[in-house]
Amino acid sequence: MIKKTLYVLIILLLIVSHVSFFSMLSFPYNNLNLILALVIFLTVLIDYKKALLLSMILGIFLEIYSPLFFGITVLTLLLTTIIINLLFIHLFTNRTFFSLLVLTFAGVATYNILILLFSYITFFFNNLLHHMVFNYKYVINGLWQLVFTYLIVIVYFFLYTSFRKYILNIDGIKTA
Amino acid sequence: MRFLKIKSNYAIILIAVTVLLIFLHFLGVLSPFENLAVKILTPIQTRIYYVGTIVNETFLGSSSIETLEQQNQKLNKDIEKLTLENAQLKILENENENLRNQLHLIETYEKEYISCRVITRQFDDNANILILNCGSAQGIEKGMPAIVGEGIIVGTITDIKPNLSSLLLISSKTSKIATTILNVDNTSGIVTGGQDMSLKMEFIPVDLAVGVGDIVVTSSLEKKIPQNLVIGTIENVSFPPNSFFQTADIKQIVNFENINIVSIILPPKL
Repeated sequence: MIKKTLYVLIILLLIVSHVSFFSMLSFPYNNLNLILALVIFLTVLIDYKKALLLSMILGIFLEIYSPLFFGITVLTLLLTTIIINLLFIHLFTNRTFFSLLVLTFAGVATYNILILLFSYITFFFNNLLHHMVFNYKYVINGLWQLVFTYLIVIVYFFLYTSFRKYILNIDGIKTA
Repeated sequence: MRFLKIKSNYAIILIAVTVLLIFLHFLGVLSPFENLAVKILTPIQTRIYYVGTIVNETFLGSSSIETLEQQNQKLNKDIEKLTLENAQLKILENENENLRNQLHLIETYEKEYISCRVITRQFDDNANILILNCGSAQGIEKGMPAIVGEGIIVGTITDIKPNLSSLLLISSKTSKIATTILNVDNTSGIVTGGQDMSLKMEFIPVDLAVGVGDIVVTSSLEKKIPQNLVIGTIENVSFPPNSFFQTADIKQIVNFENINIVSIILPPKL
């Protein structure tokens, strides 16, 4: 029960901070994406299934506040998780810091490409007032997002390696 | 291999559930759950957004002391100029009131407002959107204008949910507002967003004179937007070659990045 409450609180905290705090900071800090970093980290180092479930839950919550067409964010997060996992299975043999760094790059690139692609598709069919536009600013924002995602993922990694035993105990994951 | 198959089945199930949820959202089945989530999270979000604004202004602001001093000197000069203008306007206001009384043209309605707090925003090159904590349940409709202060228009409502609405700022490239310049000719044009959240007025007939410092206000051409909401002042005017129209850059009065609260103008009750 405590474990579940803790998960719900963490999810709510992530959503609220992502939606209302980081998104309102000025450039380039507004490119900080805690949720994407967490999903990449979970997929590569902890548990793919948990990452998928978290992507769906967080994605649905983010949709409520997103001015984009409903469904774009959640599908992008889910597909990013799936693609990172496929790359992890086919390109890497074990969970290392190096594989985390490479897959973080792949994850951020996939996320940005997919969200742009979905945004263009929905714009084509709906003529919405708000859609992403691919230009040099989009690329610069993407690069900043990569830098911040690297920073967050590294922080997550060191926190995880420092408190691994405690986290795995809460999580119920058996260590090898 | 079997392990991989189980995992891919799980992914397919989650995608199917997500697609179903998207479908249910468009059918409106998820509305009660979405409203509940919004109601629970909004009070926290408005506070966190406010904290974010303070952090932004205090720690991430790019203004140096020199820039602030320059701005201060410029603002003092503006105050002097505006005081003079204010005095002239008061004389005109008195004359106007007298004329209205004489012609029995006293307005039969007053504008009604709803105050909304900003809970998040999405600024990109194409559109600058604020998400507000009020929606159709509070009587908000698409196309309604949002103002700050005494009547400075900042945007229009483009999307509504029961307790949330999207406000497209006038600094967006996708925003178009019919406007008038307060000069001798009452020159009309369209205000849209320019580069880096700037404002520009397009479609100004090339034969009409436009002066730097002229005030730009909303015109009466849009159904839900009242006349004379202030947008800004003309900063400079350019004449694109081979064009029948001039374009003017508008100096905005409001810093769009630090808006916390807006007022939505409701249609007049006659």
